[in-house]
Amino acid sequence: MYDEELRRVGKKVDNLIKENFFSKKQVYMFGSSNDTKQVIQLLNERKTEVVCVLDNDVEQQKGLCAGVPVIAVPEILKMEKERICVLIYSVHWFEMKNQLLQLGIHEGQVIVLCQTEMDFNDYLEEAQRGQEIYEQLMKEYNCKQIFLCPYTGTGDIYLIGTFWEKYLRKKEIKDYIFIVISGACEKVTRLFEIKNVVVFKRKEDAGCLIRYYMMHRDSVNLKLLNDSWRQNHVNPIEWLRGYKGLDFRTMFCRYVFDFPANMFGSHPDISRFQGEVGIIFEQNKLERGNTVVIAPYSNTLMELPDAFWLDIVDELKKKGYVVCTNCAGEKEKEIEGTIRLSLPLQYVPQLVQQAGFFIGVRSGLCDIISGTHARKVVLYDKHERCNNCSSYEYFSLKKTYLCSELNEIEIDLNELELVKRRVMDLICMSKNNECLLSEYIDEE
Amino acid sequence: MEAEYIWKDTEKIKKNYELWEEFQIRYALEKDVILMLANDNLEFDLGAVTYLKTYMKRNLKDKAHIFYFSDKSEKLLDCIADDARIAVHRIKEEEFKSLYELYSFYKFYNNIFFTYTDYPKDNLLGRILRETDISEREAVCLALYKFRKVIEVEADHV
Repeated sequence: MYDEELRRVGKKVDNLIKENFFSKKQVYMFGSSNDTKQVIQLLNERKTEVVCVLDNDVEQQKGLCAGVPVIAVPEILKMEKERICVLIYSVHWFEMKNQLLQLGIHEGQVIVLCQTEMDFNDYLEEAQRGQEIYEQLMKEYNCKQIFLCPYTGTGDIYLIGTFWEKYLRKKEIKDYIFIVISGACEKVTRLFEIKNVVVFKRKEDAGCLIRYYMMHRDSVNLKLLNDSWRQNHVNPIEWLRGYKGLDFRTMFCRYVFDFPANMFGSHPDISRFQGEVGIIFEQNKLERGNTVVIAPYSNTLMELPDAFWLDIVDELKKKGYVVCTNCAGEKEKEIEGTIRLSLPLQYVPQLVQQAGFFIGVRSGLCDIISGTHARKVVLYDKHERCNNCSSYEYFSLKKTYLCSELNEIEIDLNELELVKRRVMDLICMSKNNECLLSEYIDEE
Repeated sequence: MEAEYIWKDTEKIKKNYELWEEFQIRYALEKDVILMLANDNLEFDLGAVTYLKTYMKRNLKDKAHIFYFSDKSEKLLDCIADDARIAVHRIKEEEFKSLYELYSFYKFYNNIFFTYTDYPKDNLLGRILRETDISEREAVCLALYKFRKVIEVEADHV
């Protein structure tokens, strides 16, 4: 779901919390999907735990959705009935709700979070607001083409950046406006030669602009930089993501940029950030070629228990590494015993390059550092599904960027001891350590 | 197929909205499933008809309506001919397109399925069908009815 919609759902959840709706209840969600993942995350942020996700699909029942076990719908009857509360965010809400009612769940126990009634006049008003924004931008920048990234995914912006120069050349585009909706995304654009970047302060403005475009598709020069954006519902190919090899890179390469399927993007030149990052190294007493950057946070994929990271940090330090945690904003805390680093995103690739080592849960940050000459270990949840395949199959960095010095591990949360050993083995191969250090020196 | 769509002004959109309101009355559309056969890709249309009953069963729907405007579409309807739960209506092509123009701006109903694969220009389903080995049947299951997996049509639904 797009940001404005997420904000609306957040408000609805806040109201439920205010009314003590969740008090003494066991919260379930219906339907394992990306939308459900976002709602679970939103609930987690509000200290409300989802016990299980219900799903009719046997395949889904084997896995997790945002770290929450997925179970068959009738399983809910084994729970204490009065305490059950089911949240739904799905286009199939009506049928899901009916199924629950047929199982004897009371109407008041089922909350539909998606918009069930769509007001035509609201659409028209949004389109009108979009027109005002469009005309103002055109006037201000005096150019004819707008590119819009209506999402906060920094990995998406990085992938776009790798194709950007080739795309502009192919389409012979010189003047344009590039709109993003978050400061973090804007920072990623700085890694590339992307100009006229506008950050929408009101995220809902992106939705209005799209609505205006949807009313005048042939005359409004706006291109959505996404293979299939839900708001623009006439393009249903998002439902084919991950099917028969349609992975993250392929979807952007083919269906955003119209490039041949075998085309790969180019990583940016990060050498220009050496100076600033050098100062950060001095200030934080980091050691070049002997520092491990840990990135334990992910917006959409799993997060690992603190104990896992504490053990890794402990072992790394015993082996003489300096260890730091990459934290974005106040919410993300450093792993105990590590140096907290909270850098603007454009500096992070150079930081990781000089550090020499990176361990992270798959997130947008992993895209951003994917081109560095550092030994990288990226972790995926083995059971996490993404559309029609596993998260690993869809987002694999190796497949997306043909990365070097990268190890990707699909992990089972029940086998964390094994994973820890594997991660340590991969980081501590001393020969590679020397090799990386020499590469760093060569570059300088 | 030649398609000249005019995605224009608010007035036109409003008129199309009025048409949708009239449609609901004219065909007594309650909370039924509506399938709109666009005649863009006949194999895709055939898949949409074939899987309609599966969709109805999975989503606990008792009634469906199929709308079409061309002779070619008519030939696809044999497999549902004897099913009283599915009403079939031939309508004017202009009306059909007006509804899709409206739908392209405003998703006015959750259980309506248009089988366009290449229109408007943002619809990339046709490209996927031409450029990959994903079949029409697979696209119907995953992208049209959103079953989340490709399933076999149950014997009594053929």
